[in-house]
Amino acid sequence: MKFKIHLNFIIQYFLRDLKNKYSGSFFGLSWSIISPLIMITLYAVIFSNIFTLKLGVDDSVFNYVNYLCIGIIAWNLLAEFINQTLNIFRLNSNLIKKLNIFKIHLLISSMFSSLFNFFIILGIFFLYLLVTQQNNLNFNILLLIFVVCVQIIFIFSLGLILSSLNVFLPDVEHFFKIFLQLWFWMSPIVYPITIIPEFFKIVLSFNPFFYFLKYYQDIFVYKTITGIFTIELLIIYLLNLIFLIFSLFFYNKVKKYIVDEV
Amino acid sequence: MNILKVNKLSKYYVIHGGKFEKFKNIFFDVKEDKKFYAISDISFDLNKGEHLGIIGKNGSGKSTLLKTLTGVTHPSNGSFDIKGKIFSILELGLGFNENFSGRENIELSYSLYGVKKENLSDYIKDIIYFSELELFFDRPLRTYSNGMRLRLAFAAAIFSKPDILIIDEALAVGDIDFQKKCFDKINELKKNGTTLIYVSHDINSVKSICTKAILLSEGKLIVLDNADYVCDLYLKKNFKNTNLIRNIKKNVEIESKENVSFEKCKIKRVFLSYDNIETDKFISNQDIFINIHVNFYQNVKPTVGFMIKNKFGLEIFGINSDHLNFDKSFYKNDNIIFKFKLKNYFAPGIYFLNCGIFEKDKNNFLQRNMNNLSFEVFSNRIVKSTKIEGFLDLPVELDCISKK
Repeated sequence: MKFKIHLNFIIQYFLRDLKNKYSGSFFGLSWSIISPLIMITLYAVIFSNIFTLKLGVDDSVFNYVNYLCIGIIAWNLLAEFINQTLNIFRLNSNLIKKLNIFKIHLLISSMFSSLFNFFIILGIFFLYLLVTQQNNLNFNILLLIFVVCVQIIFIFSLGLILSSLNVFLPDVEHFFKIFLQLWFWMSPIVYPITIIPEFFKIVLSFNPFFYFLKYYQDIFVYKTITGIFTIELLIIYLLNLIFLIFSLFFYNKVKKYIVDEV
Repeated sequence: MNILKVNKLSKYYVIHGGKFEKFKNIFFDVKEDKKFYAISDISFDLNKGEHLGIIGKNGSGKSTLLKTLTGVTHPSNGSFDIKGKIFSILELGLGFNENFSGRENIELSYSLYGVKKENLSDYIKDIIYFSELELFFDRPLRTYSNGMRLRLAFAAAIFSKPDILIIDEALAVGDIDFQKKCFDKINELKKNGTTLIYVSHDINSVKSICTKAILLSEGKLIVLDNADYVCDLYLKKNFKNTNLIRNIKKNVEIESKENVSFEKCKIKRVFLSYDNIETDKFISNQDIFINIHVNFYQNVKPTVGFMIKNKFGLEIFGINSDHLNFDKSFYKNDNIIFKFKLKNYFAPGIYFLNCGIFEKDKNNFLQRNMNNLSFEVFSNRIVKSTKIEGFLDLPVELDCISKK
């Protein structure tokens, strides 16, 4: 019953937020897909024509666009959520100072809106695959559900820690806005992993986003995975669940003090 | 039954050091000299249906206490226990999102409150009617004035039918008509057994709304007693250096809290007049007539008196018929107007009139009529640039005698 009330509240908050965000603007919802589309076009033009990149498999422009699309779509989910939530407590200080509301609801609602955009773009991507008749996807596509879920766990935990930390250390926000740029280029999103020098691959192995990215690319570009659930994915799940528990524990410790500082 | 139990509640803020230090303090103990106690060691119980007023100077911890009880901030030490639903209006604080309309905000807060969707439209109808926001109700909250916010918040609070209603300084923003409406509604809630916690600098409203009151000073609970006693104590202690809100209440019906029996007589009406014309504005040095209209239902030998207080609640002047050697009995069905005539020596300002009727020699109140009549005194002096000091404007003559 309690759970139902809270879920209902979050959904209502999310829907109204969505409505208010786009009501009155001419292009409305389409704004949320315009920016990733422009990014994809830009990179596709620059990198597939100016530099000739080798993906290691099918080197057609189509395949590179797929590679680019899925990478940017996956990245966008992370970047958008982190950007939205970094300063979420201070932006809503008016609300959390006057009402006894669960502060974590703000993040969950934010996650809903990031996911909403994510699925719209993903839908368009599927449509594009159908139109260009590249729908030679095998049932590895089911794996996508598991990968998206684990990515949600990861970015939610990260957002929770960063947003609570940012209340006390405002530098976190400034640092992360820059770091996100760096992180983007440090992940093989626009360039293939094959062009990375050997020593840099060790650095890459510490990049948590790389592991999600790899699965996305495997599903849509390389089509190499067999089986729904691999041991590696299980380990990723376990690690991210530990991360989630840690972040909840951290938030629980800090949440009492947030309202006094925003 | 205790609906609210507060046990040694304390809340401190760390006032030294930057944000990083504060972050460190979450995980490590704070040194005692770095703590600033906004409230310390507050304990009290509140029974169902009681009405608690909280008074104190600015910075005495009133709002911190309420915020803690609402659950917005967390206590550093101590605990409290609430049985039932609590709804609070903190600093006009209703509204999840400035971009949402009044309706959306109400729907959200009610959904969190556990109101079912089916019943929502009934509540919303009541809220629109009470808040008089018809046009603005579907406009974003950021377009609202303070008064509109108050109306929305107050309406939302009232119709949510809470077990405990917390009102922090909220009514100060509304106009007099809306204030009256709110007070009427508060009285209605009181009758229905809602427990009320009310914070205001307007001592008169605390006196009239609350049964119990707490006086806070520097975060400590000084006294918890019945409201009249605590308010008087507060006014005597520091009426000079408090910022009281100039809040004139006109003709607000206030039930007297004494167990009054109207068996013997009833004050029908109290009014002020000058030259047989009813008025509430007087010029210095004119006469003021205080008319107290009493119906007698039994044979009574009464003492009739009045007390004039200034806007701070300070007693300026009071007298009764005994002092005037009045000695008369009245009989059943007598319909009498007692007409006091007094010279207006009050300094310009707003005054409140209380009057009462005793049974002579028995010293028991037959009826009291509290603070429900106000009047204003204007100066008749030509030079108005300097204010007259004090509470009185006595007739003064100035003469110069040269001494040789």
